[in-house]
Amino acid sequence: MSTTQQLSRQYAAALMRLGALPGANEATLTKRLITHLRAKGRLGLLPSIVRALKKHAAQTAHTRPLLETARVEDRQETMRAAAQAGLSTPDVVVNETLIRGWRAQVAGVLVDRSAKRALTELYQNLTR
Amino acid sequence: MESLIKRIEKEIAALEPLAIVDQVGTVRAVGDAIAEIDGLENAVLNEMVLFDPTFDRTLEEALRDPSPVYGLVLNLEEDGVRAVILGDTAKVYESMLVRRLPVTLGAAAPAGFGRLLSIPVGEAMIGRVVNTLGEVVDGKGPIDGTIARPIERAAYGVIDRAPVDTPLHTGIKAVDAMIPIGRGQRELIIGDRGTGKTTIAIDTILNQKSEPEATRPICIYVAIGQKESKTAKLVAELAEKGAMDYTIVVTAPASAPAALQFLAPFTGATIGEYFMDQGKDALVVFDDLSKQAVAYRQLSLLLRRPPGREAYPGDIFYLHSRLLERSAKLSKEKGGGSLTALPIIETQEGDVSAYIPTNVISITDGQIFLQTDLFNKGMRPAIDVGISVSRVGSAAQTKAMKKVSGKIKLELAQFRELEAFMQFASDLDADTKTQIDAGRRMTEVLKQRNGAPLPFEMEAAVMFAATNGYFDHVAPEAASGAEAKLQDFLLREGQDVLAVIRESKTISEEIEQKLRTAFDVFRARTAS
Repeated sequence: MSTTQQLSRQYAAALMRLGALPGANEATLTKRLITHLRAKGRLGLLPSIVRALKKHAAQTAHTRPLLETARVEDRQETMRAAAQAGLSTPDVVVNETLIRGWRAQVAGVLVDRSAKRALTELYQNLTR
Repeated sequence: MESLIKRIEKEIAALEPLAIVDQVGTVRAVGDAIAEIDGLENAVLNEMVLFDPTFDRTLEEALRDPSPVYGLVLNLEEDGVRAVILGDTAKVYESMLVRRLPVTLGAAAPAGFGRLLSIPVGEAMIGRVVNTLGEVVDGKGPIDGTIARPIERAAYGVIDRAPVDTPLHTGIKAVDAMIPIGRGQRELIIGDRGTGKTTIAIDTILNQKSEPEATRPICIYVAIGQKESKTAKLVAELAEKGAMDYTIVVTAPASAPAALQFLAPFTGATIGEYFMDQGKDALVVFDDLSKQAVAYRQLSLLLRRPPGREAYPGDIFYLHSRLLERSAKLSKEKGGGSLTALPIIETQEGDVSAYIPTNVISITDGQIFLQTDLFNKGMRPAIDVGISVSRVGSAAQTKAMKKVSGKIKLELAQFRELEAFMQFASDLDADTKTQIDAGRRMTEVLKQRNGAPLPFEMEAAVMFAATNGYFDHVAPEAASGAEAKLQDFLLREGQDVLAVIRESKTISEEIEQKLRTAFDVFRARTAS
């Protein structure tokens, strides 16, 4: 990795850490970053810092908790079942392709209790 | 039909699927058969992962092609892992779900995640052609009754091994007489392209047909990066000569992904170890490891591993050493089985001091070096006896062969020196001429056509004749023809002597006398 890339990653990581602190103000952070980069003569790093931030956002998008249910009317029951399984998610998304049941993806763990998965496995076992 | 559909829909509505728990990650990027995966924090090296094509599709789309694609984790990085794709790369896409596979212990419930790459092994594989993952590619139907074995496994330790003391007969006179191979040994076959390396390996496999079934080794031929036409021709030859009755072919052709070419030798070793662990003997041919090294280099560069000498990764030696160390002769306590390895390395312009050849030479227990010059001069097999060696030596020879072949190598070395000297000398004394003629005759006797390995009793008889002057009455250039006639003579009139040598594996005084009597008759007939 080049020095530019390393620096951009470090600035992006610092921004994310500062942004996660309680009471952090994004407008103030951005202003301070520009002032700092201008003082150090590193304004040219801005595009690569943005790229690093976008990359991180794309990566973390996959790790956000996700709870899906097959039918709208099953939302409450799905949230209860997920809570009983120890899975804490802010909301539930309706995904009709599941056919029946639900599935949850939290922190690299997938719990799948959907009919789609069961039927797919049945088909694979029958046709192996 | 309507009622059937309704019934099935009712069943689906009543379905209460069990919850399954998987550890998962997501494909961040894919290219050149390498997938960068986010997540999988607990993944281990050489772990199998599954790229799930059904996760984000409807059931109908998923069932069109539900077959998963497997990957092998080769890089563990700060923010994810890199896995090499072991199947159709076109099926893997960005944001695809990747699952770790459960470790199962027989029929018991999964004991955690982190299944290492495994292949099916079993007796039913004998006579079949499979690919690196153990999948059948000969079109003869599935293989049943196999068990799964990880392809990477630690080699047996010193305590579990026994000295190599049982010969593996190649059926090639030059090899069995001067560079004898034992069961459990690693003997490298090295030379330029087109010098007969594969021929030596195939003739060795063909010769095992003459072994009694109880002691016949199971042969595994691993074709790495070869043309599929060449492998098909080879399989046809083995089948025609009945060798497929005890042979398994593993193929990772030139069109296969680099990952499969890199893993193919480990598949061969795993199959061989299965038979070795049962107390049987096995022979594995790796044809060739140069192509495996190139495939591994390609993978390592794509995985962004730092390149070393000649752009090979730093662990290229370890690649070959851990593969070849799995060959062994096991102790009686461990069943007494053996796995003999014949790795093949292709050199460029005869350079045995290049990186990969020197690595493998230092690992193996000897090498058979094939020279292009000798091949072009008609010396086939084109073995350069001067620099070929077997570090096991006569411990891997029958007493019969030991008796007749003791001085051949020395005499040939002396002949080569004299031959070089002869170019400058105008007049030679009678003794020198005799020695040169003897060397030429022996060189002619050691020639052998491919696909015609000899049983060891015939080899011992022929070498006895050669070393006791029974070809001295023929001109050196006619010695090869005389040797062929001797073989015919023995097959017609010497079967009883051959049988005794085969049974006893030695040339006692009595057998020696019988041989001398027979060869006197032969000499008289051919002299007239």
